[in-house]
Amino acid sequence: MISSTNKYILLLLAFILIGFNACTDKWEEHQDLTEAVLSENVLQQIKANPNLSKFDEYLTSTGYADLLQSSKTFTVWAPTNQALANLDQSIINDPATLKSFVANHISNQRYFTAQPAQRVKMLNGKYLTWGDAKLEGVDVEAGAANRYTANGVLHVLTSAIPPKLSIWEFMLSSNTAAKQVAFLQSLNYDSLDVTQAEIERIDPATGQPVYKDGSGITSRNRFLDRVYDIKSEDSLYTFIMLTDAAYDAEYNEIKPYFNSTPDSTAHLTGFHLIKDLAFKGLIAPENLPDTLISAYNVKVPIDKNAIVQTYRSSNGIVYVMNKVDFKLKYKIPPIMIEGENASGFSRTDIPERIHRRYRTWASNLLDIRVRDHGTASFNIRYRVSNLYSTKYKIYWRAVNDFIATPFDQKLALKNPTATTFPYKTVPPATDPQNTGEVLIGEYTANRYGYIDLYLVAANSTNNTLNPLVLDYLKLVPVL
Amino acid sequence: MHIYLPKIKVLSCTIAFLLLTLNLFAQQTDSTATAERVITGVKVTGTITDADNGLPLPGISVAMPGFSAALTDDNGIFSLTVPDYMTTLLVSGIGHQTKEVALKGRNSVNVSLYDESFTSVYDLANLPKSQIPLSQTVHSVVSLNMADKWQQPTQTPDNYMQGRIAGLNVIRRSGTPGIGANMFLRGFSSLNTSNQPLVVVDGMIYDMNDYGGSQIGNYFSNPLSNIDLKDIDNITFIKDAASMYGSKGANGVMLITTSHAKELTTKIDFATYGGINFSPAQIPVLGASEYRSYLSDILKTRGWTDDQIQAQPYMSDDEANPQYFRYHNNVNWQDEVFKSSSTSNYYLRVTGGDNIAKYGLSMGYLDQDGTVEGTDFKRYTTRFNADYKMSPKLNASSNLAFTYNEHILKDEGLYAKTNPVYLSLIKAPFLGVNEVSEEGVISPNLEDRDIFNIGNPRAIIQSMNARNNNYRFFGTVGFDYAFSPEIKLNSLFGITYDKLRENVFVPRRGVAPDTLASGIAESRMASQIQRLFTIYNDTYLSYNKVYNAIHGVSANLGVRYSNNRSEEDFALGFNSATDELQTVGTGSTALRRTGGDLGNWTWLNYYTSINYALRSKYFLSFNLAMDGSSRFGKEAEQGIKIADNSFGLFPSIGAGWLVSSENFMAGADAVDLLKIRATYGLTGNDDIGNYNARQYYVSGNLLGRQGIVRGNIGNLALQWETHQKLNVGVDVALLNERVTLSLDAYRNTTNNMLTYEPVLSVAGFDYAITNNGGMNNTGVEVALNSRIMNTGLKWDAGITFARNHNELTKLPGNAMISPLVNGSVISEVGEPALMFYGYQTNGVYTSDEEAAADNYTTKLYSGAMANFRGGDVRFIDQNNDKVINDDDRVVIGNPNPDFTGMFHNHLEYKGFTLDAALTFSYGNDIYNYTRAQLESMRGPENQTLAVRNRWQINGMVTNVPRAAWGDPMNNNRFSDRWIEDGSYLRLRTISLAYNVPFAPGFFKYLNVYLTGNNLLTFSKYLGYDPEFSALGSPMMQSTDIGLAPQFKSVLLGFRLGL
Repeated sequence: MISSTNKYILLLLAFILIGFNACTDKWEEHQDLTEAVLSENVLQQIKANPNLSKFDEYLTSTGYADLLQSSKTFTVWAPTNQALANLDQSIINDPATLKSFVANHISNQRYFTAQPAQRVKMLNGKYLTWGDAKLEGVDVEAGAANRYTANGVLHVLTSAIPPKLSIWEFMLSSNTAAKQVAFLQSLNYDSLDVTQAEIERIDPATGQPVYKDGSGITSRNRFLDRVYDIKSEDSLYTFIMLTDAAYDAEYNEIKPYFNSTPDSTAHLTGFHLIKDLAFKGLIAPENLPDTLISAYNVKVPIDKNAIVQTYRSSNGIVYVMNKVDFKLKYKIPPIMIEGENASGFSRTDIPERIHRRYRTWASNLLDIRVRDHGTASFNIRYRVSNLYSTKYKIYWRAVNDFIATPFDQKLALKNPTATTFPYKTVPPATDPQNTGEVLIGEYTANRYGYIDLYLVAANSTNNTLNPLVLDYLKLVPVL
Repeated sequence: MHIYLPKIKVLSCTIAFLLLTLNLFAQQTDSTATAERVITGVKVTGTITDADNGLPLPGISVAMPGFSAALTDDNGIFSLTVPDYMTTLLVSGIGHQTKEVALKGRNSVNVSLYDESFTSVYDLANLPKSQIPLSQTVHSVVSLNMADKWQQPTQTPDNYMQGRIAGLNVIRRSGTPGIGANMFLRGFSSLNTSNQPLVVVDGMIYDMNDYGGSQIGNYFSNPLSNIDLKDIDNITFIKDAASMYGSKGANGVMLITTSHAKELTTKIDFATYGGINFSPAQIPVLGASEYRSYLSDILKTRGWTDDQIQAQPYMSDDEANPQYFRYHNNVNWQDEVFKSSSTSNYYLRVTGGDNIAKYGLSMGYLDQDGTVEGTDFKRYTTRFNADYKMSPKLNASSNLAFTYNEHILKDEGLYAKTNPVYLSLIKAPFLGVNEVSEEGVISPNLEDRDIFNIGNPRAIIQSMNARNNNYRFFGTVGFDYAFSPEIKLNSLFGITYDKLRENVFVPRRGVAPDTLASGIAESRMASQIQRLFTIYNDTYLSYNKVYNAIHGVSANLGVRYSNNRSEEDFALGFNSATDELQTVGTGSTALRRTGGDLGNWTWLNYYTSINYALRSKYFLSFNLAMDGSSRFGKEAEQGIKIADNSFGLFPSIGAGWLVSSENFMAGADAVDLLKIRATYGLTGNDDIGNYNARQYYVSGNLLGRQGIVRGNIGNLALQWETHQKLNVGVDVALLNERVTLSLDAYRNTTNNMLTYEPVLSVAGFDYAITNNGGMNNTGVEVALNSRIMNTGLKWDAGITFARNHNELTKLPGNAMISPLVNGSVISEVGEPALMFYGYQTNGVYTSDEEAAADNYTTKLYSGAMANFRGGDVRFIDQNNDKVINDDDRVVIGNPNPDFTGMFHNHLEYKGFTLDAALTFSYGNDIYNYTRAQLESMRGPENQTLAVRNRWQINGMVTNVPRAAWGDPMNNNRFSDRWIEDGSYLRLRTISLAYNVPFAPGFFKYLNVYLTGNNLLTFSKYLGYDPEFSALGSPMMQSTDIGLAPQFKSVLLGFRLGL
């Protein structure tokens, strides 16, 4: 009896033990790492590869080793010891440079070879092109790509990739375009960045914050603000640097059109020269067309033979050129004033009489019409800024498609009562589509600046005689 | 078939029948009187011994009921005159079991008796109208004598039943204290009506319905939690055609008998318990550092650039960053939600009385905390049971119980914004519990919802207020008047009054807002009241008589009536001004909503039963019920028509043969009992809705105009479901009952099954309710008990085992696919109901080339088609059209277990008793919805450790797909990835009791108990626990929606007798 009891108890025990094992195992089986490497971090993988000892050494000395053990995800393109053997001493000896060098091989997030080509931002802020198992053209060692770990990916690179200069950095470091660089630097200014500034106190009277002296002051540059931010690593640009001689030649060519005080003339001329020297995107030499379009929509003729130096920067490409033969007709283009963009009216109490009309034949698809206003010499004001100092031919296009009788209107310069140009009749338009522009007259601006133009209605309160209509005004420089 | 009878005619028929029977009784009385005058017979002798030690037992009664009786002498020897040697003797004695002994032609018998705690085949079953030894029933009946109830102070009666009744699959709803269990007898019997057994307490139907649900997520107010297990004397379960309960007996009948005073002397029982509930084993989720790596990956798939990702506050490792301390923690959120807690229980019972009145008075208090911090169940029970002998012929009894419950709860299940357990799993581990300053100083204030719009689980634990208070008065008063020893008139009146009040408040701070139809719910308030009032009456005439010691007849004729009125009112409020204002009235007026429901139904049940026993060997039983209900349609096709109303007819017949009592078995001494029994009958299910058989109107609002609109398509032919039940069984007892076996095979057929039948859209409704379905359940059940050791150490071991197969036989449209949280189930004619219906998978594409080779496409959420690529799940294209869509779904799992049961052990040694019960369920599949959320890799929610193996690059072999924000390829669709084996074996209870020996004086006894619940669970299921049951309907079984898990607990208590 006892023995059979023991048998039962043993059976029961065995049953429980088996079950107990099953109990502890169930999660393990489900979530055990399928590959041991998934429990390691990137740094452990680097350390495990003797051929990466040099890079590991640099990781430790620059402090990136700690980062690579942390919980975010990283991709490391580690150059082999051979690749680092001939590294420039200037990089190794300067901690800041070395740090930037090491950071040029590490990015956040995981990047694998199978992903489509893309620019990857490295920890030093530079972007490198990654695609087709090549980082910035450097091959990943065969069989040493895509080593995934718990917190990232490791690729082994056959050679090191020292960080490149950005366009801005290259420009500052170069001495081939001294005048252009000097001018660009003259566009620097300081501004207060309230997001960075430290608040000293809140002014009880106004409720506005008062910032600490000197805090939050950042240096900015009007070229970067208004043209392209060639300092930034986020986008790619093509930038042209002019040698001093080329700079002077172009400077002098356009200088007459910016006649003002000497300082202003210099500033205006310089800015209008360089504003058309930066282009969006990286245009490689082999893809360089004969004409580029600048940020200000100016056609820039490119003569490949004039390129004296090419630099592939971290955020684009720089061409140093000894000639850019700007065409004046592109540089000093005609000025278009759309009728609907009026700056003011002689009466502001009759908005219901002023019609900005949608017309398929109109420039910008809109024109302006004022009628039934019952006011003698009603006028519309247009302010023209950035008027180059030169002689202009002035045209208008006015299409009378609304009244069967002709009416008169005139253009007055600077003052609505000015009589520079006489009244002109606007006949009923039988074919609005093909109604052409009409030459009003010529005008010479002596100084660069602004001018007010007035479109004046007939001096009559008769509403059939005093309408106004205008599609656009055009000021064509006589070059 | 329409039988039309005027009311008067029926009444007169009934009266005529009554008169006829009385007349018959009178004649029979005469014939017995003649028999008593001449006692002729033969002599039988024998010895009665103690089965434990073989010693002779003096003073044991040996009787031939209604004929003769004798007591054993000091040597255990008796001598008795019996009519012939084919009769059966009844042997009984105080402290010992009762036993029937068939003479089988012998003139001398030796009988050994066990003590009264022994589970015997001769135990009495408390059937609705009588107490019959199990050995004489023709029905499939289990009687639980509840010997171990004192050791289970925290169990509700439904939980207690788990595993004890073969064929009753008891699935505990969740680990919330007091929430009880869903009980499924012999599989699912119906898709849309109640599958729960009828509960009858002391002769009156115990209302188990839910009126309007709860405002607290996945909470169920369990009426059975109102009954203290210690107040229960016996639970008898009828598994086969319980036709006497007509249209209510389809899912079996659970008869609970509460304890009455047995002796006249005053007895006082006092019991107290204390215990610990252990916080459950946790689901392993990512820690802070692994989580941040995961987050980097998932945010990249969102299309964010490196800079955008690095600009997130949680990505900065610079301590000078003002957000540094906020995002650099490592919190185990499950620790913040689960806490070990305590239980205490006090119980006092006084019984006693005199010749005229006996009483039993009990009071109890239970305070059980949940393992989800802040949940608590408090119960106050009182019960007064009394028996009165008013005259020799008139007896009365009363059972009055009043119970008050206080439940403090939290949302559970699919309340993704307020379920603290779910929040604790998905909450980013690098976030802190409390607010933290820029310098890292921790504030006592809790953190608000986080940058991912996920609430703070601690805010739910500390600030969410969800209370459910309810009380129930359940009282019956019964009379029985004996016209003669054979004829009795019984009547039982009862009242149930149940009232429930809920208050819920969800704060705005720390909780993600919810979207309403017309606003954003920042904070949420709710109150609800439910009321139930039931009047019940059961009046019947009973007749019991044995003729010539050969023919035993018992018959009943009666009527039951129950009228029920329920009311439910709720009010919802939103956006109170501050979190201190927590009542509905303080919410925004524009968003406030109220609603409710009224129910009123009546049930009338005429019944009769006739049982006949020939020589206690051959048994015949006939039952018939005729049911009328306010729920039935007036044009119901089945049943009979009386005065424009349809009445259902539910007959059943049964037969049994006690083979072991036959003379030819005289030589087979090893066989104590061998009984073959069979029953066939009809029962019904009246859970068809109070008003679905009528056409009703509901209030509606159109563009600000209020009015009433049709609420349904009234189905005047709507009727009860009909359940045909065939049961064949064998009961065997061998080797002086050392081995007993009950074996049942059954076939249950559900006809007229309630279905929601889709209708044409021009009808303006989605469906009509019809009786257009059918299903079959077939299965076997085994209950095997044995006393393995009987000397010194007593060891009883037993097993219950049940196997069921379900098959749908009829459905509108032959198949029905029903949605299930992010998945679907299919019910198809010829197949088991409610099978998981989803996609089959075959791992994960290791590379883009591999995916391109298959060239499967799937529809994106945008409607465009897209190709799978490396790292996507490889779904199986069942129809070979190269498109993975709904047509590729197949049956991927069966929620029904292959078998369920329990393995139990009872050991006794010198005052020590050890009970151990292991419950098991095998072969049931579970849809692990919780894990599907925790391995979906589609957002910032924290995930399980398995996602560390996520696919990253071509060539990587893993079974975890790639992380992808929003899961555009729907890799996480309802597939076999989320279907798991829910088999388990659990050490459900183990308890050690010690009867402290001392000389009885002022104290009569002292028992000490140590009980452990759920101490060991063996399961491969990847969740907290494989046992849960979200709803009573079959639909939501086996879907793990994140309920509070079962927990381990240990209790120590004692019981003192005065």
